[in-house]
Amino acid sequence: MSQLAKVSTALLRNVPLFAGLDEQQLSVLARSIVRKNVGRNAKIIVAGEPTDSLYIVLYGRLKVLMSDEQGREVILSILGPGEFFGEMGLLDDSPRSASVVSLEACELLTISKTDFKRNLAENFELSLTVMRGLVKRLREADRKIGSLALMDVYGRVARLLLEMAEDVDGEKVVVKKISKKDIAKMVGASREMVSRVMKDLQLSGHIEVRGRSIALRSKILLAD
Amino acid sequence: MSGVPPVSTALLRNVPLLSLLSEDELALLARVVTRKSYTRNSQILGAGDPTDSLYILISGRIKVFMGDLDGKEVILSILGPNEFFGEMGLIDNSPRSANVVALEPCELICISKPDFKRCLADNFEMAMTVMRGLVKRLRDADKQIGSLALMDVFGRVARLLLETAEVINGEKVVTKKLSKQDIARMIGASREMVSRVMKHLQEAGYIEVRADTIVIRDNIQLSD
Repeated sequence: MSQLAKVSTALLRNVPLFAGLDEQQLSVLARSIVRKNVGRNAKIIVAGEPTDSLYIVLYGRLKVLMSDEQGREVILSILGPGEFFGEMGLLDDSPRSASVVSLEACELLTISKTDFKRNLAENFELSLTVMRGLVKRLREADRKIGSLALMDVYGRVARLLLEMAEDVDGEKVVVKKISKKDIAKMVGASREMVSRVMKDLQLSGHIEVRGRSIALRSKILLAD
Repeated sequence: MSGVPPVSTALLRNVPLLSLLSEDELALLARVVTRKSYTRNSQILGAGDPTDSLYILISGRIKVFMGDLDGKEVILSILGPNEFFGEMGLIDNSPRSANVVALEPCELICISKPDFKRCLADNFEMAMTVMRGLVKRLRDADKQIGSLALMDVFGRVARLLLETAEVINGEKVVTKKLSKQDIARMIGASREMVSRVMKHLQEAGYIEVRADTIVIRDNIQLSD
């Protein structure tokens, strides 16, 4: 992990988490924030380690995962630009509960526990943004529990694709590259099962694979 | 549901979420909160309902669950006295994402959205309590995802029993009454499968069922 110079207030102003801070608060914060570049597959957070910082994603994507003793993994979420992670341990003083690994080269901002807590106490808007972030993650987690407990692998793969899809020229398209192995880890199934399900969805006209992206047909949109 | 007279500040002061409010704030709040009673099995919130209040449980237990179109349910959590719910929609202005039903006769305090938001904005400690509550729920949800994706039904039942147990006279005991149906809905398995697993756990000496309580033997351990 390489460290870069300090950051400017202009950069911080563009971070959604800090949107409610004034110029004065941003300049104080800028002095305590560090910018970091990490390569692909870098371990940013390791489950079980003590908690000392909050991280904000400037660019790149990362996966949040838990694993068992046999090394089997489940991906809890995939994070991208503007999102933050590591706040849970800062709020409840517990060790890291999951690991965070970069999926591609990433640029991150880090803020220490002390600085984060001071800013939270001084700025209600920041607390609200953190709360909204926690609620968003909790809703995602609840939906995931619902689909793991109530849906078969077909339903779970379809739901995941729907959630990842963006509107492109009036179509729902999954443009972010995601491997079958990562899909498997997100839906709690084997890679082979996911391959089979994706092939079936393709043959039955629910999805169309175009190079790296996956277009969703209206059939799959109605099936939900 | 029946309307009951307003509440005393003494009652509010005993609620951990509100314990750090000043006497003036409690007096203000006491005038605007409402107290409601629910009978067993009555619905308190329905998924999709608009969000207008925060609820704090004074007595009784409730279950938070999601259902699918076929009526299959998954229980996200069971809450008891002094715990609160309904804060997610107040924070992100979305409709209710889950259903809440009384497991036994319940008494609740409702705080309206504007009153809740004003209390939060004026009291950093209350905001921190709400954030810590969200973090706790998120950690629980992540553990549930991990066990749904990585553990078999034996592991999930064992994890649930260990997490529900309290230490009494040096023994781990599950004192809260949990039906096999509820256990099944909490771990995403059928009631029949849970009965079978519980019988195996009992025969193998991992658990001992004594009337309404379940004693967990020391030899039950989880890999995580």
